[in-house]
Amino acid sequence: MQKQALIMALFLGLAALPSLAHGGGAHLKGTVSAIASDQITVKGPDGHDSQATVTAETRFMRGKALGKREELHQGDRVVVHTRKKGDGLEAVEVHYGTAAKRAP
Amino acid sequence: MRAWAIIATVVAVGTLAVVCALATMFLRGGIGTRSNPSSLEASLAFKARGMALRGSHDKPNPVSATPEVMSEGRSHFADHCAACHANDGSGKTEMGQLLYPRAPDMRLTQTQGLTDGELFAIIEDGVRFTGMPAWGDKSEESQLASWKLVHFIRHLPRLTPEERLRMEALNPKAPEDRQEEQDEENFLNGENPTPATGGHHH
Repeated sequence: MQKQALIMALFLGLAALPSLAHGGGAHLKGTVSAIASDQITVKGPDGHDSQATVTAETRFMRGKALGKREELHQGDRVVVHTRKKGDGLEAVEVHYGTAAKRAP
Repeated sequence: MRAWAIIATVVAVGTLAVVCALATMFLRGGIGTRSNPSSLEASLAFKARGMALRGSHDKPNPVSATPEVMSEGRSHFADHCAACHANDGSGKTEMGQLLYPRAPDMRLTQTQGLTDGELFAIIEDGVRFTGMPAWGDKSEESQLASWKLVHFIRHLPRLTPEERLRMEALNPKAPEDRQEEQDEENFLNGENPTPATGGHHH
């Protein structure tokens, strides 16, 4: 009986492991509808706007290289990797193409 | 007879204190890892770590810090350590921030203040009651790799953004994550998005 309880406890513990890696934010994919020093707004494929705060730690990535916020403009395609921060999202990385593509 | 009574009383009181401490701990947060360790736990653990590492204190690093060694250490860290410790050693990863105790910021004195021998011992033998496993198997090869890691850990406070980027290419990734990266790259290069790719959570 004790052995069964131990096996059950181990199983439940292992079953909880995948949730560990899935508590983060969303990837916002779309075009820049607004960008400021502290916030980026992304229009998704469904036309819905999503916002994420931009901080000093937010990394801007042009392809595989480091980029700058100033290189981004309204209409550029982006993928913003976010994490939850309070009730909102914080931009961890903002990815954009080597030759920024505008919305079709 | 009187001496035995005193010893028995001390043991009983000690046991009761430990039981009370454990009961308080479990009542506060169960066995979950979401809460931060109390200052008492952290202080005791810190002291215990110091005592356990005494034997390794004066062991010097037998490996020279050449550019090749630093590069090997960096690659090894990205592949084996960064999942918990992060490429920059900050410990700011999903796993690192939910371990109990949290993965430390290795750029700070708590880690950098350890001697090379102590860092080596932690890598080789792990630390009980934490998420740090013993990576070494006592072979010459594993010890050499651990000493190289020690050099790289010393370099963490001066890690450049370019080095961090190189490490990211070496971080282990699931096939799904690689596919997602490819999808995102395709999108950024002009491919039309599919409705299902608007907001992946992970």
